[in-house]
Amino acid sequence: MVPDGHVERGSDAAALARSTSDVEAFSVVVDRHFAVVHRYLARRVGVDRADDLAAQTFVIAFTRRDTFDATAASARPWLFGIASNVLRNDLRAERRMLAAIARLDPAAAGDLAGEVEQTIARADAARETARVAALISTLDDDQREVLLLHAWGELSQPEIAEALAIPVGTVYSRLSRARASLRRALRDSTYETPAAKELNR
Amino acid sequence: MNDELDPVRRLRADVPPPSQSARDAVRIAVSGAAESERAAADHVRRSRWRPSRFLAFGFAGLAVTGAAAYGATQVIGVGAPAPHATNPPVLRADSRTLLLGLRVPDPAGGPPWAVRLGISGSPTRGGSGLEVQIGRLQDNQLGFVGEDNAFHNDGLFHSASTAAALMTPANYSVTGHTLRRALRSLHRFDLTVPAVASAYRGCGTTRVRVRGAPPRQQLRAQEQELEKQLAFLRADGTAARRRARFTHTPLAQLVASTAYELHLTREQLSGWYTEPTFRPCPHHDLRTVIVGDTGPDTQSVTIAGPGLRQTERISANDNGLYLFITTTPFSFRHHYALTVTCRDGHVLHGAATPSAAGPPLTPNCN
Repeated sequence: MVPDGHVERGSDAAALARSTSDVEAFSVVVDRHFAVVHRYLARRVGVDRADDLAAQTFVIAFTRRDTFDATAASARPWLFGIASNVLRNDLRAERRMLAAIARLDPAAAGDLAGEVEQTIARADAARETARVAALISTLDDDQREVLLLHAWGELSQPEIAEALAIPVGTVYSRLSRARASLRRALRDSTYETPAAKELNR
Repeated sequence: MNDELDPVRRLRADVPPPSQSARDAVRIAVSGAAESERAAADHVRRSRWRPSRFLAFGFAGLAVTGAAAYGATQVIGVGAPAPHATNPPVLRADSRTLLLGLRVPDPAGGPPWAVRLGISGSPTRGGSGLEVQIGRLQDNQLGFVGEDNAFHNDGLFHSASTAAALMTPANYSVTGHTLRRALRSLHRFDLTVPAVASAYRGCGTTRVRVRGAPPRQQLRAQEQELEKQLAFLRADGTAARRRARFTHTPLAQLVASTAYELHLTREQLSGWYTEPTFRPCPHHDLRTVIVGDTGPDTQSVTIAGPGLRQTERISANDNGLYLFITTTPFSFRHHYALTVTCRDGHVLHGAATPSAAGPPLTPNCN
């Protein structure tokens, strides 16, 4: 088994090409990328849904393996592109999950008696988590997709462009807008996302 | 890197790695897709003489005959009701039925197409079964028109009760603890052999004597084994669900395929076997039926693919089911897209690559 993250140039393309006549060759691609794709999906919709969606992603990849660009260095952006399409059907599940995180009670994160500083730190972390989750949930779908492919999928901007089949300039601008929103939210502790405003109404 | 993305990177960074069962599931799913790919290729090779009847698009499609030739008027002559099945394939005696509001015109006119749900069992006692019955509607009765293996090409409307074996071109059996869940599993349906075989066996179907069947003793043993299997699957217990999960096949599909095997075994035991005469169906008499579920909050569904673009408005009492009837044949090699508009204005997209084990990619408004 090849460790996750190890990509030899052209080897994914070779494996996918071989898999048209030898199905077993596809397992190279699964071994190489399953964990990262699953982790990305699990962060977005939870582990239970991720099991199903990751399986869907790889089945689609298998059925569409003849459409893979053989000149691409790695299948990872392509797989993330498929995963993103699969996720579109679960956007509501993701929003529900982010909303649930955003509603986390910071005090609940520090309910251990004693250790006041640790409790405060945990509460701060929980507050930040809630605020970031709320903000992500209120980004528009395109910005959120690009932001999370970058931050959670660890794809570069050109790889995101490849995954989503959009111009790389569009990726830069969406990511830039998402980062600006994040900066503003994190700098200004009174900043309220629309979702937070809705909750506090 | 210390920037504004760090809090995002930390968010949910503690998700566990995929379990071994998740890894196994993906391998099994890919193996299933490979198997289906081979089967589809074999099917295309074997069936080159007749138009494509099947579609797997997260839902199922099939072609039915006898529709186009009688299309000038909405009401046509009435023939005898369909006979009861000798081996009722799915629907149980305690079923209740629900005729949905969908009325889909046939491309050549005549009685519109409609969907009837047969719901059996108690949601609180071991789950319920759901049969989706698709057919032509006349005088508030569901049935079929023209050619089939009971009435041949008589051009009349034949109503069909829930006990009729040939009532619809498609019978899908799904199980679930609620009607909603059962409906939602619809879009997990790929190609279901019983759906085709139980109601439609191609053109000019005749019943012929079984030749070269296994010895009766062997068939009896096979029948008993399949009955046990079917009871096990229909019980919808933990073990059955585990089997479905590990084979990455919807439990309902396992039930349907086992029921079909049982049906074939019993046919062989009876000494008669129904099979097509291998006469190609006239192309203009073929219909592709596309059915699926996109959730009760669906406003409209659009399907687009080579030679096909149709939009259907879904009313609130359709339970989220959509139905397209087209003369455009589907191909495993083409790509089809489903665009779903929800009542709250959301637009969802489902891309699909038809394959017998195609994953469910039907968007859902719920």
